[in-house]
Amino acid sequence: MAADGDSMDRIVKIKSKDGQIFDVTLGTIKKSKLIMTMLEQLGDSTDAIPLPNVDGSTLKKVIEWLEHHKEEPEPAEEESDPLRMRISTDISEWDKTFFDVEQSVLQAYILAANYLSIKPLLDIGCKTVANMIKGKTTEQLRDLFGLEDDFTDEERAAIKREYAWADDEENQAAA
Amino acid sequence: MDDIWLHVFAYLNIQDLHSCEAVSRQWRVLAEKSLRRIKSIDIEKDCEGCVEEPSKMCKIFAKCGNSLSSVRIGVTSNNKRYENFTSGKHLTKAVMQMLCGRAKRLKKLHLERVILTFGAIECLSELPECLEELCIRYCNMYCVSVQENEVLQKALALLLAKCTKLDRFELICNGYSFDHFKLDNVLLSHLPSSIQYLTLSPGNSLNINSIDFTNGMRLRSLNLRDSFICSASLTALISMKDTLEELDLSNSSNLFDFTPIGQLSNLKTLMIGGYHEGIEDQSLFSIIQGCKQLRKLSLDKRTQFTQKALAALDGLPQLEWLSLSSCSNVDDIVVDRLCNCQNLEYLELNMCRKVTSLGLLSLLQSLPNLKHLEVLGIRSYSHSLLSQCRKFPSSIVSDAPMESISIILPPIPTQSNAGQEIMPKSAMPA
Repeated sequence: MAADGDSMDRIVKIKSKDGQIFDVTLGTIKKSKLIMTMLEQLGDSTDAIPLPNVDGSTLKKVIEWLEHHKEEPEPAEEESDPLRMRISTDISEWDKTFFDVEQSVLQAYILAANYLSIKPLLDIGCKTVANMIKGKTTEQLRDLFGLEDDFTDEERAAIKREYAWADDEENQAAA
Repeated sequence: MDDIWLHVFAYLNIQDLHSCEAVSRQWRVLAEKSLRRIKSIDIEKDCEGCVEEPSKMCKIFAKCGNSLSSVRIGVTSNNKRYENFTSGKHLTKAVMQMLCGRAKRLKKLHLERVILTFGAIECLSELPECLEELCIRYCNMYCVSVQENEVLQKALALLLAKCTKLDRFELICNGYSFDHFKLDNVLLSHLPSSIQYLTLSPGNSLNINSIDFTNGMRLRSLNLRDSFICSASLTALISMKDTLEELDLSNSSNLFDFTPIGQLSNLKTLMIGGYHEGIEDQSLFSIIQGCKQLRKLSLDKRTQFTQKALAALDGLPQLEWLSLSSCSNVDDIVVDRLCNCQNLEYLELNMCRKVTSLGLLSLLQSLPNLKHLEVLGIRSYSHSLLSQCRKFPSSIVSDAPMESISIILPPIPTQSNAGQEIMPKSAMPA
């Protein structure tokens, strides 16, 4: 789509789940694939775009994030090799502070990024969660994410057999 | 939501994924899915401590399986001095079997500094046909008898014959590291013609005297360090002159005449160092005349080349990397002529004792791109020379004593501060 200077200043209205309306420039919101697609379909209509899956406070923060990153170019098509992804887990200080929030809020950001299809925001959100997982034991992970151990005794025994060595290591580390 | 968790898991390494697997049923499914998406594994980096434990490696390969396209099983040396020697870690048959059985789309396999058991090498024949790279570097092999050698040769021949996409094949080790294993012309005749990068330097296991096995190949790079091929067989290289860019024939004691190399007009890298007698200047002249593209050249220890031949090296204007260590006939005249090679970035002149401070000074003053200089054993080198230069290399290896510094050195050139760690033993004054 055309991305000349004039059109980037165009104001787009978006409406959150709880009815709040935000005015943003096209230049800010262009990273959202969902909104860009909707704009194409809506043509010249100036009605606010409804976003029934995002609440106002989250949308406000997402816009703040987009505002801060609006000058950054679209990242090149991400390498599909997970090895590269496993290495590139560095996050800028600004983003670290941005994501330094309660887990439920972090989850809301990620879901919003996913829904609005803002890939760079989704990437950084997922990286943040991955960094939370790194180096934690199974027990710690359950506590952190409020997950239940729902394995049957049989499954549990199978896992134990499979990863006997992993447990050994943990025990050694604890000792 | 599952998609988002998979996205998160994509940033985790194998060990973290293993912890996730035991969290809950949902996580187990997701983590297993993530493991199956991993394409490239470096056992040493991605799963610390696993190299010592075959059972761990087996489990990783069992879980990751089919999607794997690149695997490295190796141990990096903490000490640079030992990087060309094997570590004490074993690679067993069980691990290789699991890898070959599961990784049906494997393209690259690198084995570095591990001990290969007999069973493990035998299993190489089970690697998938789509293999493109096989590199075995500084490993030891168990092959205790002539009979075992026959079994291994058969296994390797089978592998080479079926991997018709093989692009890179490297076999490097020292001395007797490969035990009774012999790499001979018969085995090498199975090399597929798809090969472009070939390194055969398995110490005393290399048992070839010609390079006829390269017939029909379009090699870009050939490394036959420490081999016993004879001068006459070099003519076989000429058929590859359109593609061949790298050639390493260092320490080949049967080579007395390098003149055929002069016909390899596309060579960019040439290593022909070695102590052996009997090489005449004509070899060097023909190289200088024919290989105008050369960027990297090593003539280490070629004491036979005369001053006249060495001085002609300035006929290679593209040279960026040059080693003349222990070429005893290098003197000030040769060095003066080298000043015409304006692209030189790396220069080794170790033990060139005929060079005096005058030669060194003109070198330092007239090579603007020089970043690394080695002058071990040149007595007339002293750090005070640097005070007469506006700019000097960011790393100089010398054995000049610290006391000789009585001047304040000019600042390190700004365009590069890399390589400062290799400053002379005597550090910069505070």
